[in-house]
Amino acid sequence: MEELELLKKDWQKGKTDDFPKLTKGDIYKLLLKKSSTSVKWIFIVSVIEFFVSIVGVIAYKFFKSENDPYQKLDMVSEVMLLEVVSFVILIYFMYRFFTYYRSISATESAKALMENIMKTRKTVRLYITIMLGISAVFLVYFLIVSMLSTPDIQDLLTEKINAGDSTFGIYTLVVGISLLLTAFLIGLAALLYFLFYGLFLRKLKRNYKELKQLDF
Amino acid sequence: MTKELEHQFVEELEKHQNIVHKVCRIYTSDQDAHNDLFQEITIQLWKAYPKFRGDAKFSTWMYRVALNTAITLYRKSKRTVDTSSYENFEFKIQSEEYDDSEEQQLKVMYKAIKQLSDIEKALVFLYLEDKSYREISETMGITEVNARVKMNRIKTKLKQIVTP
Repeated sequence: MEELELLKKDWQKGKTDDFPKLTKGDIYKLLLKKSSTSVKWIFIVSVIEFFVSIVGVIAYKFFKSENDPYQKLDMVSEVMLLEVVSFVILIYFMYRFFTYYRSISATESAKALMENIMKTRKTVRLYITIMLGISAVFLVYFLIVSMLSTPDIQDLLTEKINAGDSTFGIYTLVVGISLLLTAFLIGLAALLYFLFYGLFLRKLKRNYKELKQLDF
Repeated sequence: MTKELEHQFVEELEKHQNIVHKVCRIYTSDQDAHNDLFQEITIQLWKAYPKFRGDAKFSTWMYRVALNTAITLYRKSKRTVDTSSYENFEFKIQSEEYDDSEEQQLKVMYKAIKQLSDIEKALVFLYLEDKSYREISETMGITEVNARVKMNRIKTKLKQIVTP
C-alpha cells in the first residue's frame, strides 16, 4: 500500500519533532504522579472484597447479642461450619490471587499480560461465585428454619395436624418463599457484581478476544 | 542505589522520549489525553525498570511496556473527551476532496489509522517503526506468520478506508 509506505517514510524522517520535548526535570516530576491502571483497580477492589468478608465474620463474632437469632433457632453449629468453610476458602483464594497478581508485568508480551490479568480476575470471580453459592444455600436453610419456628406457622401446623389435614401445602409454601427470596437477593448481588466488572474489563476483553482470534 | 537507578532511568527516557510520544500520537486524539497517557507510560516504565536487565536494547524494552500500557493497563481519565465521532465526520469531508498532494495523503492516513482497533494500531505502530515481524510477534505474543497475515489485513482495511 503506497500511502502506508509514504507514511512510514514520513514517520521515520522524524516529522515528530513537533512533540513537546520533556526535560529531565519534567520526567522526575512525572515519576511522582499517581498511576491509575485497570490492574491497580482490580487489585484495590479485590482486596476490599476479601477484607469485607473477613470483617463481616469478625463483626458477627464480636457483636453477637444475647438474642442471637442463630442461638434461638439452634443453628450455632451450622453457623460455625459456615465460618470455618468460608475461612478455608478465603485463605486459599487469597493465596492464589496474590500469586497471580505478582505475575502481572508490563514487560511481558501483550497477550501474556492480558492472560495474567484475566487469570487474576477470574480467581476473584470464582471466589465470589462460590461465596454467593454458599450464602444462597445457607440463606434458604435459615429462612426455612426461621419461618417454621414462628408461632403463627407453628399454630397453623398444629391446627392442621389436629384436624388430620395434610401439612404438605404449608411446607411447600415455606420452601417456595425461601427459595424465591434467596434467588432474588443473591441474584441482585450477582447482577450488580458482574455488571460492574463487565463494564470495568470491557476494553481488556475486547482486545484479548481480537489477539486470540489472530492465533486461532 | 535507588537515586542512581532513577537518574539512569530519567536519562534513558529523556533520550528515547519520542517513542512514548509516538505511541501517544497513535492512541490519543487531543493534547490532554496525550499528556495523560504519556504520564501513565512513564510511571509503568519506571515501575518495570528494575526488571530491565539490559539484555535487550532500552528502546526495544520501551516499545513493549509503552504498548502494553496503551492497550491494556491505561484507563482513560475523565477529562478525556471522546472526539472520535467528530473525527470521522471531518475525515469523510476530507476524503471527498481527496487530492494527490503528499501532505493531504498523510493527513488522510493518520485519520484512517485512528479508526483501527487498539491491537491493529499496535501492529501499525511497530510496522511504522520498521520493526521486524519477529519483533512484532514477540511484542504482541502471537506467531510471526499471524503477525504477517494480520498486517496484510490491516493494509487492506486501510486501503478501503482511504479509497472513497
